[in-house]
Amino acid sequence: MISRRKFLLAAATVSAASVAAYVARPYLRRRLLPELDITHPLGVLPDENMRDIVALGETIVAPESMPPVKFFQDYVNAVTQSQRGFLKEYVRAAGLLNRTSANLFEQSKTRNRFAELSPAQRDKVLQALIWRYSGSDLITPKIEKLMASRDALALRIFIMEPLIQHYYRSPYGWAVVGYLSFPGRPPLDPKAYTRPLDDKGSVS
Amino acid sequence: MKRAGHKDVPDVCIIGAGLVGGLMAYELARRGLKVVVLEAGPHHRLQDRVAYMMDIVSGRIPGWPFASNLPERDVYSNAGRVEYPVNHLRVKAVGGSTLHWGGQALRFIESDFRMKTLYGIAEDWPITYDEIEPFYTKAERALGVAGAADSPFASRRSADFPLPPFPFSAGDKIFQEACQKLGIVAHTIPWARNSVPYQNRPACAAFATCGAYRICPIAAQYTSEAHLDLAVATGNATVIANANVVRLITDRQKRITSSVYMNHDKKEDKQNARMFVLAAHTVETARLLLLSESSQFPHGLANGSGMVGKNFMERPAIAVHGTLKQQVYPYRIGFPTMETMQFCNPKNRHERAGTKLEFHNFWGPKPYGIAASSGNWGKALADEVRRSFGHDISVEASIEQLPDPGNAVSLDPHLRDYFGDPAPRITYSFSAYEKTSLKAAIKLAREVLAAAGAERSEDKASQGFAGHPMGTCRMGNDPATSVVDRDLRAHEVSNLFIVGGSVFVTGSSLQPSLTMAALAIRAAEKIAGGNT
Repeated sequence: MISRRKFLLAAATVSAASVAAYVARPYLRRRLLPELDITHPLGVLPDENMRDIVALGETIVAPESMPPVKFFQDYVNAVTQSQRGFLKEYVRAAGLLNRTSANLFEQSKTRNRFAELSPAQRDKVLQALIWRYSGSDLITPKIEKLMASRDALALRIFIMEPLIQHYYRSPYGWAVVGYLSFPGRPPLDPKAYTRPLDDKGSVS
Repeated sequence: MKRAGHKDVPDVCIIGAGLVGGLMAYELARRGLKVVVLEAGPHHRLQDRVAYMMDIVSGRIPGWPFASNLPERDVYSNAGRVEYPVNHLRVKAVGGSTLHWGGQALRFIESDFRMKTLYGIAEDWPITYDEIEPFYTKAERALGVAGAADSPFASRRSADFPLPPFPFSAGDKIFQEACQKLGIVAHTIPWARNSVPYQNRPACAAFATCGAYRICPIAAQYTSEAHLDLAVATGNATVIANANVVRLITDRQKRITSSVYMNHDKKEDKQNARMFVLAAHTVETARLLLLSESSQFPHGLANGSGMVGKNFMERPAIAVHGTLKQQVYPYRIGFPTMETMQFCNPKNRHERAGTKLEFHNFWGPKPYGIAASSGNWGKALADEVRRSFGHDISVEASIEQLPDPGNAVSLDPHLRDYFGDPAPRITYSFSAYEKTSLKAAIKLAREVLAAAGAERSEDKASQGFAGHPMGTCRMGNDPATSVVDRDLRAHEVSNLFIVGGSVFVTGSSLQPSLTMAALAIRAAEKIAGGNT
């Protein structure tokens, strides 16, 4: 039998925890899902920031199917000029990448930008900011959301994930799996679907 | 398309510009009848479709194409044990749901029309397969159906398919071998999609967007825009878009004199005609009749039997997915090319529904889907995408549903639409017949996947609907138990014809569209006085 004293103590603890969780709810929500500042105006990303974002794009796509710089520039310009809040996030993302670059690689003032780093160094910067959780049951998106900084989360959610999606929807992304034609881009031979892909990995 | 001249009273006013509305418009207009078609939705121009498709595929426009341009108009409620998603596969636009339909154009089989006689369940249709067969042929020619008479389970046909079939895909060999192991005969699928150029429409170019994105950018797949254009070209037909019909008005002789419609600014207009054809989709057709109550029709227009809205049916469907070691080359064409009708007419059909199996090798996540759920980037992500892509297959099984008066479309007493009218309320559930049949279908699908060598198949099948609502205005010889007669004329309103899935007496495990088209062509001939 539980004593009355223990019962009251347990009840008080549960109640206090519930109140704390309720009070902290807005904070937790913001913490787990960064919000866009939709009061921030639309606009064009400054060139120096654009260079860093292009460098980010080149780091997160497949190296063997690299699109031209314009591929990234066009996408970023389309987003920052049509969706409120994103211009601010892109500027913040570039700032975060540069600060982390400077911390990791103590370079001269002219070479502490993310865009100036080697591909391997850029990857290390990302590893310092973003968790790799693919294939791991221990490191999950939920834990990352609780542990990572707001700007690191925003970098993943608002910048990296849409860029990756844009890439893998494009011909460059389909080429990663050997498809030269794909939904939206028909093959030269409409009956190509009746045959396997050829040995070279392209559409026969 | 120009606006109708309101001064001249046309012969026929068609409400709804979808599959059957478009066919009726052409069939009547080519015979010299003056026709006005009222369509609730907008007119999406075909010449914009490639760009529109690219916006959909690239994700610039989220969701499926041809979404409602007035969502507040398309509200509905559910009151049954199973929630029915009315708007999921319905398009309100010139072309209707053919703008993003799958395009399968199958004939029902003979037994589908005689369920009461053969199995002692449901009802017989007032017409037989033999009576509708010539109109199936006409419908196949109208829609341009590509197929082969290679299904030993199909009913007799008096003519070949107008277009050659689509050959099996590379990945279909996996299913073919699995079916052979199980003694299942698989065959091609008839499609209302051009395998070769036909009727001024190009052959399918394998854009591969029809299944995954529900849009054909070049109109190789049939849409009723084709027949609406032909109808307008006769000089006898006009199509009015954004015309939301809210009431049908009758005179003392119990004949409809006009349809009242609203535009998006809630400006009211009306269209007079001598004859009216209601082709507004199963749900809206019933709702419009119920909304058009009057002192002469206190329970709704043509509803003396109380059957308007009753016996709502669908084609419940499940999909079971599996993963193979080998590549299946998905997404190189947008539609399946193999299925089996072997289980559409089981011997124990009095207790087990007919079931059709389709074999899908355009399943599983696309590269961007894999990338989206990954926490990787760069080379590691590319390796993961390559490793994961292209190994998923799926077996989809759709079953027939029996008519049940308890499954119904009615007027919601509380929820109002954009125009202030009661929204449709769907009361829907499955009977034991459907529940046991769905379980059997899942088992069957798993057997095929196992025979195909699938390493695993998901424990829980995806339950859904094929997007084929039927019933609500059933046809029959007895005015006490049906809404329209065998010619689709309303028993109680002599100048009203109802076409589409709403008049079906029973469903089928097979897609209903070709039967809807065949019945519409037959009704058009009746309206035109047998002049073919």
